[in-house]
Amino acid sequence: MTLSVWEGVLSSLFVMFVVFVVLIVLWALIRVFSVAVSAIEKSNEKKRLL
Amino acid sequence: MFTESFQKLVDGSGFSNMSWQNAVMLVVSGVLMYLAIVKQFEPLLLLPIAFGVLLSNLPLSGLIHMEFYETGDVDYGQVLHEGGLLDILYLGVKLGIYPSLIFMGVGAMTDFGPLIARPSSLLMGAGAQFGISIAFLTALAIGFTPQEAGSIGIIGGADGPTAIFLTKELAPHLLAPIAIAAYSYMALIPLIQPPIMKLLTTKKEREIVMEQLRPVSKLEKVGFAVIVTILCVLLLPEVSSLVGMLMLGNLFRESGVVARLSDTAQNALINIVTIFLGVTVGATAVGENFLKPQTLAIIGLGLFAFMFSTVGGLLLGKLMSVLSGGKINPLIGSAGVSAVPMAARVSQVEGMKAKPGNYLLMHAMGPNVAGVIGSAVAAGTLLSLFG
Repeated sequence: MTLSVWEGVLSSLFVMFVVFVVLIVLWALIRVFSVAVSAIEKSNEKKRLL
Repeated sequence: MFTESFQKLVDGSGFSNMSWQNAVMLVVSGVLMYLAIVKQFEPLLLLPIAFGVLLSNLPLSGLIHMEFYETGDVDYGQVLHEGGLLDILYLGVKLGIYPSLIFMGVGAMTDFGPLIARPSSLLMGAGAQFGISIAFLTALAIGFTPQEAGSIGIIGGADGPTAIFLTKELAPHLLAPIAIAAYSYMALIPLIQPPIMKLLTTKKEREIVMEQLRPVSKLEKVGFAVIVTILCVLLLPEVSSLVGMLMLGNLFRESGVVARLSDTAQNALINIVTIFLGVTVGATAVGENFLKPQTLAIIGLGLFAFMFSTVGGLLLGKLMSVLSGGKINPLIGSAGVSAVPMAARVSQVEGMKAKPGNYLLMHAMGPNVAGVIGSAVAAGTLLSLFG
């Protein structure tokens, strides 16, 4: 298998693109999950105090 | 008759079958042992690698037969019937078992709390994979095939198991020089990174003191392991063994209910696998295969990859410093080069030099562990493109 210069550049850009997209999606999921966990823990704390 | 017998003995010995390439590799083995024992460069891997190089370059030992692995299809029956000890142990590399088990140990040793507390660290982990692309393009320009260039590029991910995992698929004939380059440069991070960090950051930026990270609950850490596994395995099935084992090990740690399993994964298991992996990877460095001009090119490109990964991480760190209004110290960006925890320690040291008392270690651990995930994703993408 051989690649032209242009194909090589596109491949390397694609690799970086996938890395960024996956990690950004992971960032978003972690944020959402952390907010959800925080809300659950606050709710549990309120119930415990009541 | 006595003369004939003596002649047979001499002709059948390793001494008379030794080539100049074997002799040179014995010297290389000595140098690697010196680096491991005296200079203490990543001795856990470099010492078994060095001894593997020694063993495979003693002719007629029969410990490993590289001709079994020259074609893409391995005749496992032949390996089992005719192979030596290292042929059998090498199957763990060929089948992708050892890198995945090492990742399980890494997961059991890693605290992802700093990353969860500041998930924007993932961007710096992504930026620090820049060296992979640069080394890949340069390797292509020099004349390596795309598979070889991908394997060389992944050195920039600064992750030994990931580099071995990808190389054994794409370019198994380059496994020895790539593994030796990857682990040697990981040990040299305290030398490679600081000049680049000083070049790309201002003194004012290096002096930034960051706010303490929020506490992270057990539920978040357990959920993180599951979320990362589901996301990465669904998006990139090629990397499922690496990411799956990484997160399994982390789940052992964070669940708090399987202390024995966590202890085994991060101690006995990882140590055993490290021995087998190191010795067999080193054993693939047989003189005739290793002593080629491309080995020097790989060593040079490996350094290139590390340097540009540091640049990528730092540039993302600077960007995030600007976007956060100066709350993020860009020095932690270089920790996205996933040599855990060496790169984070370098950020800490440089931060302390700029401003005594400025503790950046925990902040740098976020990008550091993000880089582990980032390099695994990069490897999976390269595998899907060229595998």
